[in-house]
Amino acid sequence: MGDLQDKRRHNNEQHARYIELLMGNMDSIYRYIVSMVPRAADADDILQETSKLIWEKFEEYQTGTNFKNWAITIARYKILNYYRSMQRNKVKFSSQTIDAISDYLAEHQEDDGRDLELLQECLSKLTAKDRELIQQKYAQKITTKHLATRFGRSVSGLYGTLARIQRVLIDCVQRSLRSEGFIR
Amino acid sequence: MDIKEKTELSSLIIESLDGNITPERLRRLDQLLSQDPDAVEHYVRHLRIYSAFVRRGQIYFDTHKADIRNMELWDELAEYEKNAPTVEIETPEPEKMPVEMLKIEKGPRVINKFSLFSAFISAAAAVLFMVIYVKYVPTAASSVATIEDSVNAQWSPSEYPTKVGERLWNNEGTRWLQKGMVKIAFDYGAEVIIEGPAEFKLESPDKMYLSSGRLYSTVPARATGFIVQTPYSTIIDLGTEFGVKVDFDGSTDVHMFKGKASLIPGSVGEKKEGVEILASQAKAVNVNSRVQEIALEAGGFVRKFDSKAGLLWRGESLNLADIVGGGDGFGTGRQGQGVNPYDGAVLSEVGSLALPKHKKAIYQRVDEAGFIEGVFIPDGGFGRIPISSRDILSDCPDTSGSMNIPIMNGLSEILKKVETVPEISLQGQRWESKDSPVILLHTNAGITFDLQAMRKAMPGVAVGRFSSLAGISETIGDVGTRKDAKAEMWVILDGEIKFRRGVRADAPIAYEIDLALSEESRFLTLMTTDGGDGVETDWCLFARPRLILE
Repeated sequence: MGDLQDKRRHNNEQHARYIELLMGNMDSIYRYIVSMVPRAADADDILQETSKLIWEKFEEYQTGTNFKNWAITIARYKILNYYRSMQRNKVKFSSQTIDAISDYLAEHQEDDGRDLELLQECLSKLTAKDRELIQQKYAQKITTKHLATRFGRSVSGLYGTLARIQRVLIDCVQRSLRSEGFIR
Repeated sequence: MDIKEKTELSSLIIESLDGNITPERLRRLDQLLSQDPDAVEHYVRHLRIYSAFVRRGQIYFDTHKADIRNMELWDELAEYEKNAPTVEIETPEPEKMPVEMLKIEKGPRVINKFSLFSAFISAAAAVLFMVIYVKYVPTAASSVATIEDSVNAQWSPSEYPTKVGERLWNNEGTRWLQKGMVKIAFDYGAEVIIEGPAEFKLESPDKMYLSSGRLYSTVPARATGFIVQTPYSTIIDLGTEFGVKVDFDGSTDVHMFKGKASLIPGSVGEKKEGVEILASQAKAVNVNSRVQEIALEAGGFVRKFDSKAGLLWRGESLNLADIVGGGDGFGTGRQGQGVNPYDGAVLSEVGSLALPKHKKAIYQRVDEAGFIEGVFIPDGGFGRIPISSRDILSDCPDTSGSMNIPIMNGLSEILKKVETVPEISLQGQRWESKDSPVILLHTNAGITFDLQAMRKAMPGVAVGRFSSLAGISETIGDVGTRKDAKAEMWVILDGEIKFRRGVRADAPIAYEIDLALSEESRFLTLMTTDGGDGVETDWCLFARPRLILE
């Protein structure tokens, strides 16, 4: 009985640690997956499978080592399986593109999140209409087709507008980082 | 890269993430990324921003909409002002405020409000305001969700938003949905259906409190961490779909349908060990915070609804026999109703048919029946035969080309009275009621279901699998005139043969069919052909034919 109680206590402790580490690194793991997989819905599925596999392999994780890197290794395995099992007509990148993205991600490790703080400031510099569009697209998850109807635009025109706003935000963040002395 | 190239690249990325990119545009995106390192750099930066937008807790969009509704803040400030010592100091301009004060908040920015009234207060009061503001930051009012849809929703009298499209705030207190149901989309991605009567409170873009009632939560992977708190438990989602029921005494049942979650028993402030709930499990937490296993209530929660499409789905499968009987797949069809494969006409209470043989293979559209695209009489003697509006079958054997029993949902009353018609049975069970649905597909007949039409009628619901028993009726040996009758049974998906088996009346075997479908699957065809010995006594059955929805 004592052994059983010890085992249960150990399982519960492992579970609590797993949740804490997973929640604390979920953003980084998701960013990695969505960079390698062109379709957001597929990235969501892979994130779910990765979370499950991380739990299954959690006993192998060594406390004190870099959990994020370990978790991303597991994510990479799931991404590889995804590409292998994809049918011909599915959205996917060529192996050259995957290598190029993977090499870039390996060379540019996570920073301190300063760019996301600057993104918040850059967001406030957009016009109210542009900000409303971004909010409805990403926070309220309204489809581009519905947004096109709401804003009285064609779907292709709306993609152009979203792309312009995105490009403006990227350039704003990069300018701000350069002015603070971060070389990107 | 110049501005034009960056904008083109961002447009391709957004289309790709949406799943709306054409093959040609995808090739363009792939070409740019594989050939230009600057494109890869822009791509990764774009994805970083995208990820921040869709992941919870990273970016706040209501930068200029935050509205301090907490009047206690104003009362405390006014009280301090009454008793504050006189201090001679210049009224500061907004841009001269100490940098530390502008960097207080971690939540939604309220810079405009702050700069507005900072012009009216003394420096000492401004310091107090900083202290009070820091205290109140964790509960700063912000909008956290949107009402996406509702059906017959009746709320308790309230000045807060209740209409579809309106935004919900985290400081509106407990909401009481007296009846009907409402779908709420949280800003960080979770979607919750609440069935009245229910009392609940929204606390943040990824957290809510359910005091009593029933809810079903769908949480995409990127919104993992969504929390539902009840009087005696906390459920932390790890990428799931789950239902929660809270009784009036606060006891809670959690039913997990997909993924997994962490269940921590105990009220807020109590420390208890959490347990995991996996898919297809259910657990109950009583008023003493004790956890026990319970049976999963498969149909206990509304999992999807769409007021415009008239959809209300509790997780049931789509019954294809019910559809053959003119129904919607959820039990509205009629026993004994069917379709004539010769001309596509819908028939009610019909017996056998005397039909001329077609001079050529014809596929008949069935416009009345909705989910049935068409029907046909398979005869490979004509060469390749059409089996849908798009697909051709080249492997159909040469048959007699005749048939005389319509495709039917069970047996019609007329047919039951005919002596040579058996009580149809498979695996020792009789099949011909709403609880034991069966498609009677006497040779030679084929019927094609349109999966895309079904998806359109049920937005947000995926058609996951086709499941059925297939075989020739076991009882015909007693009443049929051909005890050794042979036939073939087929299941074809988008023109590709997925199942083909010979069946014999004197050695009946029931085959279990379990066929996975993808979101691109369009036409599902069930077909029977005589075994080269004519159609007599070929009572082929697809028993419990259903599409399992997700």
